[in-house]
Amino acid sequence: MNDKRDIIVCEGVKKWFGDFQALKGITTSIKEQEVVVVIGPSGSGKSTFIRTLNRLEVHQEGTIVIDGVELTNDLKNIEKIRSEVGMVFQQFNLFPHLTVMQNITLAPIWVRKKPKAEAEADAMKLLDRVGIPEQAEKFPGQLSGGQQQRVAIARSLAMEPRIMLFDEPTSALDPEMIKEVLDVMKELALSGMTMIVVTHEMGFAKEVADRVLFFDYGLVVEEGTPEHFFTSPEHDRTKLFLSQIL
Amino acid sequence: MDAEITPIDPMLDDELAPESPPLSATMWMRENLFSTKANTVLTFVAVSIIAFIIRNVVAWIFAPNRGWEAVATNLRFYMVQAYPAGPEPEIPNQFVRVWVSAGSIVVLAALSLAAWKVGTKVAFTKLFATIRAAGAAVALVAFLGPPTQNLDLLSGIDFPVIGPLLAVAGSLLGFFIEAALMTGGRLVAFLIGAAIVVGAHLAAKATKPRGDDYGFHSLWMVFGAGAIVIVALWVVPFGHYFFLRGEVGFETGTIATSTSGPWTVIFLLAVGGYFLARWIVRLLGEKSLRSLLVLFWSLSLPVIVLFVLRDPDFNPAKDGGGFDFLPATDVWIWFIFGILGGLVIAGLSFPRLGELGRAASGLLVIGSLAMWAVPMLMRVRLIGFLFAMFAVGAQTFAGDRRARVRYVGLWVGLTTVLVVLFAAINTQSSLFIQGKTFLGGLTLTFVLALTSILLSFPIGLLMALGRTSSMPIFRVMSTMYIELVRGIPFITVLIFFDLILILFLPGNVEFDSVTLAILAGTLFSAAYLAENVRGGLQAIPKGQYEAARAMGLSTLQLTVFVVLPQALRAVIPALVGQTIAIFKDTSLVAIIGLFDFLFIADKVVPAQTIFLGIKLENIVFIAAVYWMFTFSFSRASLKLEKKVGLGEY
Repeated sequence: MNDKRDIIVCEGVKKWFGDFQALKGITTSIKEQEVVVVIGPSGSGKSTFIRTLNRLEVHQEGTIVIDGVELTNDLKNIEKIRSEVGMVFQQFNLFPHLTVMQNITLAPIWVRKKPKAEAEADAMKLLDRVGIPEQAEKFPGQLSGGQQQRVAIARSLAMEPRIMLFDEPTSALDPEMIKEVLDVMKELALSGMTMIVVTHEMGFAKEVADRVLFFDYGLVVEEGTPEHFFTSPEHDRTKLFLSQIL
Repeated sequence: MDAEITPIDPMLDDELAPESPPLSATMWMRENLFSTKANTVLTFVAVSIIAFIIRNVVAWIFAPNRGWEAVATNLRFYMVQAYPAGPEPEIPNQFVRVWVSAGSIVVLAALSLAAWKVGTKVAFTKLFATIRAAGAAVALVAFLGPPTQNLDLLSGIDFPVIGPLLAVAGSLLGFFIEAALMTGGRLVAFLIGAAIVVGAHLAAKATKPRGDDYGFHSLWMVFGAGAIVIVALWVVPFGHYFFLRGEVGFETGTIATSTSGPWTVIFLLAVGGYFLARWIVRLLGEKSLRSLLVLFWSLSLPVIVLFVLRDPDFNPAKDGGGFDFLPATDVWIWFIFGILGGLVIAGLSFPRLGELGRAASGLLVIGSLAMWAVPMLMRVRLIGFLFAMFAVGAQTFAGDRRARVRYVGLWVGLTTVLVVLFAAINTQSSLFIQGKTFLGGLTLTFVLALTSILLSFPIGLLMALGRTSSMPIFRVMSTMYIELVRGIPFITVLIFFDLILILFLPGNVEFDSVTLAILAGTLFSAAYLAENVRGGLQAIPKGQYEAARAMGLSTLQLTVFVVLPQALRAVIPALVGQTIAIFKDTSLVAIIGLFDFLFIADKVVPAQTIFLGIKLENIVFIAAVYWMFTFSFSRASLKLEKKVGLGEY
């Protein structure tokens, strides 16, 4: 892993919502093809952190550099970064008025300017990859939660991103459907995608993560490999958190 | 992933729900009308009130001294006001223009019915049940109809306290006794109603065993009704009223051939067109026919108003006359903007151009704004501005090759239509009409309502987006406009446009009253539409924006592809409500001297020497017409909602 270069570099990232400070100076870097799992109690700033990485939230201090491009208010940079960073949301956020196929091909056609036929062929390949090619002409409302989230993953992948952000992708799902989504994510991790995953699925973290970040009070309290993190945590706050969830 | 699990059919173990036995009529009445003592009293009171109202309305309608001939004589006047049709020799009869307009709309509608495969299967049992209910209504109305004599039993008795009570009871009793003693027309109507009930009931019983599958296509009902009306026009001696040099004449016999003839031709064309279109659909599929019809529909309003029903006062180029100026100006405008401009837009829409394309279109916008500083034809400026807007959009909507071709095609089509319409306004009309405007009556009402709605739609949409925009200048401007207009009555806006607007305009600019009314209606309803659409915009979850942004869609793309389709679906009922409101509000244009549908009923017909003071009949007539249209709108909107709104959620 050490031969890979850093693709995301964060330096003292701070973010306020009004008077409330959500991020109190995050400094970390993520290497190409690394899978980083972010855990922490609610309100710890973990979602806010990954949302600053594609500027759905604007950080007020510090710097974020993604693939050599710094995130600033320059619209051109934001567009460039957004087309390289895919994001999967807790609530799927599929477009309910478009079919699965139209959901997936929308951005490739209008942002990447791909010919429609090519975009649809690529979309079919992605639907195959996430295991639901037969649902292409259905509307999102006709699918189960797990299927919807798999479509959302395919939709992000259609832009051929180099980095994927997952914001609690399984938190809104029935227990039965969590596995099918995690399976897709594991396959994605094995294929060498750079991934940052906010999740409460400790099994996934143990099995797939290269590194775990533990957030609390808007800070990275502890970080390390899963073995280190789950077996011999150093910080008292981490121990307390782990004792409550495991 | 889930392939290895054998699926269990979820319907396998379900039992059928027990069928509830049909209620008999007496059971239904006991359950719904007489379930408690209070309910029984309420039922009697309500039935008495309804009977009282029906009786008085029927009595009023059929009273022998009603002046319905004022409506019958003025039917044409109601539809198209003073369009030259009269026998007066000095004005050539131009009424064929009206027939061409009406005919093309009816035929277009018939073709659309075929192309969109409108209509469902109607079961015979359902049809007969409906006919049975209609027959019962006829019989009931006849039964409650106007009294032929006043049976006021017990009214002469003069007891204290009990006397008035007896009088009330007596008149109620008299009401029913008298109602049962039907004679003449009422008896005939009652018997006809009863015969319909019995016949339809027997027919319904006979068809019931064959089930709901035994039926016919619902359009046959439309064609059948049309055919009955057409045959009636030729056969039934309605008699016909006409004006001759200011006097009203009356002829017995069927109505004039000048009315029944054109309607027959239109009906035959519509039916023939329908079957032709069905045949084309079977042969070539419906797609090409549908796009052709959409094109025809969108052209129909301007073409009919500007070409077929043309106003002589529409032409600033009057003294030049003829068509001499066309090759000198309009053809060139079309060539430069449509063809050369189309090539420029095609070039700008290449995805590889990127920033360079945006810079170039920015320059075009500045150039188009600079055109307002240089003296030139207004139509060149307007087309130039539209051209710059299209150039700006070129980069955003440039997808694959087909999307680009469509975009350029849209521009070329739009310029063609615009240039032809501008030319139409500037050429002389061959139509001669006395008076100020060529539009009146129901036609004017429709032209005003349709144009205002169509024009106010894009403006309202932009204003709604502006009001929810994060850019303060758009937000403040839209909010100010919306709040200002919504705080002013429509009449005030109309008067403003009629009297005050002229002071703000350059000296040589003049607007026709119809144009002013359309402007006022458009800007007024745009403010309300904006508020309706804003409701839809706010109903869209934040996640939709975030997902679209995370995929890299620009703000314009996100609005067009993600936000607006969802927002508009959510507000269909509100938009239809707004459409209905505008349709009715057009009746206010009488204020600025236009002869709309209501004004004719309220002021014009009651002032005709022969019908002096006959007003109520006219008002009732136009109320029925307004209601018929607005009711159809709201029915149609229900269908639309079901089709686009619910199906996919």
